[in-house]
Amino acid sequence: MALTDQQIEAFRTIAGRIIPAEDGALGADDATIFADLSSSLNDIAPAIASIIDAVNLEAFGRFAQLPSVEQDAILRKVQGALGMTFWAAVQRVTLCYYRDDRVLSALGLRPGPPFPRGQVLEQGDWSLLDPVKARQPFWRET
Amino acid sequence: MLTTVDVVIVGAGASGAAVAWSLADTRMQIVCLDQGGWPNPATFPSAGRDWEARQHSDHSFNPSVRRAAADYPINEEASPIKIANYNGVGGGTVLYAGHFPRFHPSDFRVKTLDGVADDWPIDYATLEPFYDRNDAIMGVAGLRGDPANPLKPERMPPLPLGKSAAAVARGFNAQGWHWWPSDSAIATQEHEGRAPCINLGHCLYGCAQGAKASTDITYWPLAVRAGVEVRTHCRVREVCVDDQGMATGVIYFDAEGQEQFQPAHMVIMACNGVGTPRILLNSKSKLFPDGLANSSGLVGRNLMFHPYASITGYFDAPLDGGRGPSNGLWSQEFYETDLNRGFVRGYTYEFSRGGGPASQALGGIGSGRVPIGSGHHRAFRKRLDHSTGMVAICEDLPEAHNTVTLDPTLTDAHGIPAPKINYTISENSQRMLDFAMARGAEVMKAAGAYEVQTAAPLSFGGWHLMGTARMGRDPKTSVVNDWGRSHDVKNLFVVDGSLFVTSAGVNPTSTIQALALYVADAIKSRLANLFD
Ligand SMILES: Cc1cc2nc3c(=O)[nH]c(=O)nc-3n(C[C@H](O)[C@H](O)[C@H](O)COP(=O)(O)OP(=O)(O)OC[C@H]3O[C@@H](n4cnc5c(N)ncnc54)[C@H](O)[C@@H]3O)c2cc1C
Repeated sequence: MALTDQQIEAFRTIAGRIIPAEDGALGADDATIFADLSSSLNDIAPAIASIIDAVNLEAFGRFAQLPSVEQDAILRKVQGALGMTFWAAVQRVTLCYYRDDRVLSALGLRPGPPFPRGQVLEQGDWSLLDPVKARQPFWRET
Repeated sequence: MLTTVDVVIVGAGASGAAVAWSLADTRMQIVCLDQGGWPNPATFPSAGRDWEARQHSDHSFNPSVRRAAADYPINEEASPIKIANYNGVGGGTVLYAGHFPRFHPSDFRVKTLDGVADDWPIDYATLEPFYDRNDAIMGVAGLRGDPANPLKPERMPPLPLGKSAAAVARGFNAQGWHWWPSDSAIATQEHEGRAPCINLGHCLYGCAQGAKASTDITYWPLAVRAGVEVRTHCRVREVCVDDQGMATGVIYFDAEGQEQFQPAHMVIMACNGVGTPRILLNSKSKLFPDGLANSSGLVGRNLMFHPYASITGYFDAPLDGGRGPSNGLWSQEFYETDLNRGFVRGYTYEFSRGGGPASQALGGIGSGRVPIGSGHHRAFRKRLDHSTGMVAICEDLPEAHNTVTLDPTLTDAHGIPAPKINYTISENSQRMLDFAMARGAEVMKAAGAYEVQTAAPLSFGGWHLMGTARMGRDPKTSVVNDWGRSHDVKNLFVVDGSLFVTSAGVNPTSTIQALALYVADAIKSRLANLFD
């Protein structure tokens, strides 16, 4: 099943409330993030379509025009009603949002995949082990 | 018809690789069949921007999500714990975390010491040289001298603690409880041509660096060089027998979907605790109407998983997030039986560092700690890289009603009946999980966590598959003998996790591989009269 342009546009508004452009952060409806997101929606198209339908029902077809507080309340209601179906959309939005270079940089994280550059992990304080080293063996002899 | 080989091994995972490598010494003609292909590390998720998304699609450890051509369906509706596996050369080791603990000596004497389940027909001392050999080939990082375990050989330096494991270590110290850097099959320095770990933090989805010891890059290159043939994309349907009740070879579907018969003098099953009973139960014949090697009725029974609990602490200080392997330390403070705790046997805590940003966000949303909509960013910024945790891996005792059977209707792409899992968590396990969550929360609080989240069982954690073709001396109460040979079919062997008599409270792979090497050694030392 492929989503129609209209459904994709409707979902853009919803995605923009799942992760909103607030507190200085981009929203999931940002053009670049949503382009990435919308290219990967077809395999969960039935879930997206039911979310749009449920949201439209709750908002009498005016979700985009409602104040954000009301939009959030509607999404919470739909989330409660649709359970895992709604979760599929949240998962997809979140996975696409938190791989955007600008989002990651704003969080102080290095954009891009871990490989091949690798990541830095400090050794940590090995003196913490001293009290355990002092312990006698305590496995059961047979 | 294909030419007869000396040995056909079914399954190229942890145990199949080890047994193949060891038997290659004999110069016998050995073929290993696996339903999957060779993994290609260049295509592993951590090499691409969509690395976290692929945890939930083609690199999920849940085959029902992954749905690769190599996967087979499993009816797991009647189990609160769902199967995790990898079907291809390397088997589960391609996706495993690389925790590499050993059983304790007491784990082989469960009945004698604690009056439950059964004793193993072998002991720790018997397996010890094979544990050592396996460690050397896989490459293990850790630290000698753990007071919770018998002394082990020198290993590579331990994985770094980082900020997160150090925080948890402080918690254990504050409680006065044991912890130790965990044995991990992850190279911390160059090992046999493999590069060291660079902290990709993505062990569970395939190590693109090749630092994690999966058997496609450890045993298999050695075994192939020694002459073993690995035939990929070949799914075995059944083991065939002659009128004398000896195995004659296996029927499989090749990469083109053509049915083939591979004749062999000896058949070795290495398909894991679900795949092996599935094939044996599918191998029905006049002589073996209930499935092969099943005169005891125990093929597919006594399935053990290890129920898991998770304990996550939220801290004010910044931690490592997903930077680095999840492994780091373990605690075996509550490993050996103490009936005052309200349960028999015990468990290991294993540190679990954390995930990448999207995984942390999803975890926060899922647990209600990070809202969707207004307030999302503020809540997430507060939590990002400020949590860490551990899991408790609880010994699961064998119970005959926990089973792998054949589903009456479900089949795989080749029409082979699929496995069906029936499993319940025992009262003893539940008490152990509850205890582990409570003590784990105390550790996190003592470590400075301002909030602790616990959960059990982990429904996605069916990654340890054990007990479904158990070993023993009595043919009435076991499927194979004390060196892995079927009681009923004298040229049929099992070397995978199905062999386990009990599960211990640790990850099984180092024991599975030590057993595979031990069975191979037993075969090699009896070649003259192997089938008597
Ligand atoms: C996500 C994850 C994390 C894990 N973490 C750890 C850990 O940290 N430490 C640990 O000790 N263990 C861990 N494990 C478990 C570990 O992977 C297994 O214990 C181990 O791989 C089991 O070895 P095995 O030889 O019994 O079977 P496997 O390694 O599962 O190999 C079985 C092979 O048989 C093949 N096969 C099955 N059926 C057929 C058929 N009909 N025809 C042909 N081929 C077939 C499969 O394709 C597979 O390659 C983890 C597993 C997973 C999935």
